Amino acid sequence: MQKDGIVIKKKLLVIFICPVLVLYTLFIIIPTIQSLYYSFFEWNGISTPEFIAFDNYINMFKDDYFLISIRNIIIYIFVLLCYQMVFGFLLALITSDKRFIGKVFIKKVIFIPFLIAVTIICQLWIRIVQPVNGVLNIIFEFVGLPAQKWIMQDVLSMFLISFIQGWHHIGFYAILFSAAISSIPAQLYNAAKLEGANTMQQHLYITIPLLKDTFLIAIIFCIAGGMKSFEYVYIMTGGGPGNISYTLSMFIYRCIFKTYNYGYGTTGSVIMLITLILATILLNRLGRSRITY
Amino acid sequence: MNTIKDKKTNNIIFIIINIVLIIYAIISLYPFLWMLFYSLKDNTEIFITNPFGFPQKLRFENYLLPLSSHGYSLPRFFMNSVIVTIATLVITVISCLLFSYATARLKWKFSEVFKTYVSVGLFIPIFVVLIPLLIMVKNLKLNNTYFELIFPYSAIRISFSCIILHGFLRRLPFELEESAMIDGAGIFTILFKIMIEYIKPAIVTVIILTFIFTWNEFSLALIFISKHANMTLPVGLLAFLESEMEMQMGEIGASLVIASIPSIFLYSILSKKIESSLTAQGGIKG
Repeated sequence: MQKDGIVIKKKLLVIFICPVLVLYTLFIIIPTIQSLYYSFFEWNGISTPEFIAFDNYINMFKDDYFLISIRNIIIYIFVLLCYQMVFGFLLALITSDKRFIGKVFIKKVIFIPFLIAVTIICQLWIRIVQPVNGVLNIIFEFVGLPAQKWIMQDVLSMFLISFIQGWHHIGFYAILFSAAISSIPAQLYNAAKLEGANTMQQHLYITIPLLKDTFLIAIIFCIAGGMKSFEYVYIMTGGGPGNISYTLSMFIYRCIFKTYNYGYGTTGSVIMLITLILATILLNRLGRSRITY
Repeated sequence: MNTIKDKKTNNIIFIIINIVLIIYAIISLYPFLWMLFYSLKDNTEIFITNPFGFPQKLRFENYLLPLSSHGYSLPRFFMNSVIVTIATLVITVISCLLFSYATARLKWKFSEVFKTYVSVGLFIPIFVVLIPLLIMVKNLKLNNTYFELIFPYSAIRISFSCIILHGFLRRLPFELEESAMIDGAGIFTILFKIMIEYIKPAIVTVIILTFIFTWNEFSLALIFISKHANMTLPVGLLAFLESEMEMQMGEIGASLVIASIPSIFLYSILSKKIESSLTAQGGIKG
């Protein structure tokens, strides 16, 4: 907890914080509260809302679509976390190591998918993972393996789409970790080398503990991104076949835009919001309990 | 120490990692190349003969349709995107810089509370806010102006940008300001003349991330914009693609390439700055 700081007059402080507070409260917080308010109603967006208290919430936990969404989103976030944290960190480690040539080039290239719109990314990957004429199946048939359903397969679709989202954003995480790694003074590594530590030990005992804060922020970004994720699933499978690839966002989308059950849809949003806030609080607690230097 | 054995295993690991990296780099680079390639091919080549390789014949004429079409003016959409994006950038960067500086470096009673308040926005998915926001924009009479996008976009980027800036600003030592304060400088002078040099890498990062979001943003723009003339590039592009009945895939690709160019261009200019600023030790001893 930061106790230091410069003290300035209240009137000046107001100038600092007002723009953000006004914009944010007006365009994000107030609409969110309005939306959440409607989760206690049944409303189709046009006629008068009908107050039904917690009925929406009770019905939701019996709803197949919702339950599948929960199962799917857990898988999705898990895969996303593994991929982005582990691989992003490894990428950052490797590109920070002086012994690897071409690291600047690699850093730039890995960031490029991030610049390209979701629609294009999805178009490309659909060609690869679709069961009919997809590149993966073409390769499989060529080698003699049976064709798979890939993105139409029950749990596999979550793994695949999560991988694609992770791949899209990994540049960001690699750079985040890279910046954090480069702020570690070189003397620490030198001292460790003198004591006979090899590279793996150096990273295990120096890099990882010092990057704890960065990991925490990265995990929070990752979980929030995974839970909110919509376009990838929407473009690539639309939730199907049937409802096996529904995620929470797809579920909410369907409620609002397909079944015009606005109150019900915002109930899903409330649950999403609460889960994320709880997760963040939990992570923050975990982060604080360990004392590093 | 088994130095000879260690060196050999080290070398092998080294080579394996390098190969994996190169493969990954190719996979990361390929989508843009693929898009570029098919924007220069015709339908037979795209779907049947040569889907993934270099175009057999460079059909630059694919680019003529997007640039010259009637009814839907791609240059107009481009312009709209530019205006909205730049305005969003300016508003987001300045307001978040001020706010994050206040929560990270200034001492006041509720700084933690406000910082957490602003962070919550990270968890709010766009379409929770969508419909009430639409109604609010109409009530504020902002509809059919550029501001119906600019203000929501800025508001959406606030949480993320403030978190990044806050984390960065926290790490700088207070000596930087103290020496200036002893000389009697006011807070705005301190911020914009002295601290700004050290904050630049974080600002550049926020600029790039905000730019990518705003330029590629689709869902909000789709629902908010009613007049064709006001459409931003992603939405206008889609409307344009849906209107031209006999569109070739290659021409679609050409319009997508045109839409992607600014992001890549901006990144190629700024990436050096990001890299060098992020990896340098920072002039903290200076």
